[in-house]
Amino acid sequence: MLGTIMSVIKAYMGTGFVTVIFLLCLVYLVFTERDRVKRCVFIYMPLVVIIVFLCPLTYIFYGKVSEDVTYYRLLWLIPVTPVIAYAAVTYLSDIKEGAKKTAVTLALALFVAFAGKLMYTSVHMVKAENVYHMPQAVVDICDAIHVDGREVRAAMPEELMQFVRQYDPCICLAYGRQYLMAVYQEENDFRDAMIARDTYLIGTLGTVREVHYIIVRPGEEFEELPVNYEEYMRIDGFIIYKNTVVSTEV
Amino acid sequence: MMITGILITICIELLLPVLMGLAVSLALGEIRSKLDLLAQSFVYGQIIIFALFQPIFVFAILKDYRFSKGAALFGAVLAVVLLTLIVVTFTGYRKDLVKTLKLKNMNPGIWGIAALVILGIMIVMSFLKAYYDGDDSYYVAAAAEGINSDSMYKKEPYTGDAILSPYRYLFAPFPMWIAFLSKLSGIKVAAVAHTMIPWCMILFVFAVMYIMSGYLFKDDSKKRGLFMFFVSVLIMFGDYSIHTPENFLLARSRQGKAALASFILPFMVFLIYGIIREFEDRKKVNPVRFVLILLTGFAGALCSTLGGVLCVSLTLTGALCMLLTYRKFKYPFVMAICSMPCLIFPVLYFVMR
Repeated sequence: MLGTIMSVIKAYMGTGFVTVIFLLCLVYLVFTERDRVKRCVFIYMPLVVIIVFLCPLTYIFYGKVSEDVTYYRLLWLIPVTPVIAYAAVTYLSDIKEGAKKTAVTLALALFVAFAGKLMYTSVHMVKAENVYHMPQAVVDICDAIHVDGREVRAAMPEELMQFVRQYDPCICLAYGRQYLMAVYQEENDFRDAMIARDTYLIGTLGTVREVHYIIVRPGEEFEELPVNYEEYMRIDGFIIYKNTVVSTEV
Repeated sequence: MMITGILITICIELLLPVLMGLAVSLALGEIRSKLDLLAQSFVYGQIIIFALFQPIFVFAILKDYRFSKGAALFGAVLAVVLLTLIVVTFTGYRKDLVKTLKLKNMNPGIWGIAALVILGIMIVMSFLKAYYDGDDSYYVAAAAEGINSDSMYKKEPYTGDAILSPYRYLFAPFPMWIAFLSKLSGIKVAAVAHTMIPWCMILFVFAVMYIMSGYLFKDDSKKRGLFMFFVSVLIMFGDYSIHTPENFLLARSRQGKAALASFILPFMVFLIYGIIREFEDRKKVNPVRFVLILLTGFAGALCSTLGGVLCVSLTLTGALCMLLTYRKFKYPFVMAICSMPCLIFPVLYFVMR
């Protein structure tokens, strides 16, 4: 049990440098802070949260009322940022104004920065292509298959799936993100047929389920068209197939 | 149309909270500059708005109201509360307001200016950089579906099929707040969620930290500036793991849990600090602080089903530490009691799921 809790802490800490800085700040404040209110909020409260977090009973109780994978959220109760910032200011206030103070401030800030990681260097952070903050291909495809006054259903490549209904909820999906997430463990035979590229099954199921459009990645076009589907258009390299039986008319 | 929409969004996100929060700021005092008044009103006002939104929308969802009916109901209640608070501000606190508006702004010092520059960079980057997070396909799509079908949690946001079990999310209808902003402004939900919410959330977090700095360092503006500088560095370099409040703030600010982690919970820490500080200095606490504890619990519950539980846990931790420090029972008890009502939402969830 404690091993699981420690693994949660490890995942939360990342490299662990900021956590070490936080603990050092806590120790520094234990020895230097004399104000009872600040001790109460910046020392005792974080310590109580840490003790409660490490308690296996808390983990068991949390697992009963929520999902184990979100146990790290209890750590949000620790005011890490205010504690570090406050400790830094307290430390610096003992240094006289001047070049030395400026240098130490810069050094501390750099230390904190190097201990952490710049948000904008994250691999998940990309250049925004539009105000919707999604790939422009999604916007173009959705605009192309949108029909005013009714919903249409489409099968999308996995990398576009998450954006479609954020942009246009009139476009329903043959299968959504829940089929990619192990936690749901749901099955979808149409998706299975798409993965197997079984054009007969895709065509048959697509017609029965009223999947008006099938969109596939560039270079992954069907050699043999799915039954009841024809190539409709190509947008940003993606190929859109349209069902010839199920109407999209209002 | 787009410009009108942007102006409406700015009014709801900036002007409305400030107007709502003025009376609370003036009632609590602790205002040292015009910027203090602005920051405090901005934060208190938004907490009031969130706290009103939560019970009204949960009620509307449980009653199977259409989204537009829920929005109209909330709008009506909001208008009444806004008018009441404005009347209170200009009748009960008029002198205080005039006096506060005559206060000079503090000199933030070089580090305060550096913090402002970093804040500016974060705001600009929130427009220029996109963070693709899979959870948006639920939360943002739920908001979009709310507008599109004028219903709430009737369709599975992932696919658009009929929803099987909505209970996991409907007691924390933060997506409906995004839908509400979109409905009023006429801007598409995706644009509101990804472009209009992030900068506002960053401002909330900075405002919370700024008012906290006022309580910590009083009139020492240089220390306040220095505090804000370190806060801004820690936020900007907070991507050491994907679970930190800083990561949630800059990457997933349109999700309720981001608001909970980076805005609501730090604000709760600030409230607890304010209560203990006032007790230490004056031996009695302004009841408005306890009302704010109650409202913040509701705001936390809006953000996430777990939000109410976390707000209560934090308040109980603060109450316990206060009790052990001062050996006085009254205020920790009141603090704990005031945090409890928000538990109604997670309790309802456990009963109905």
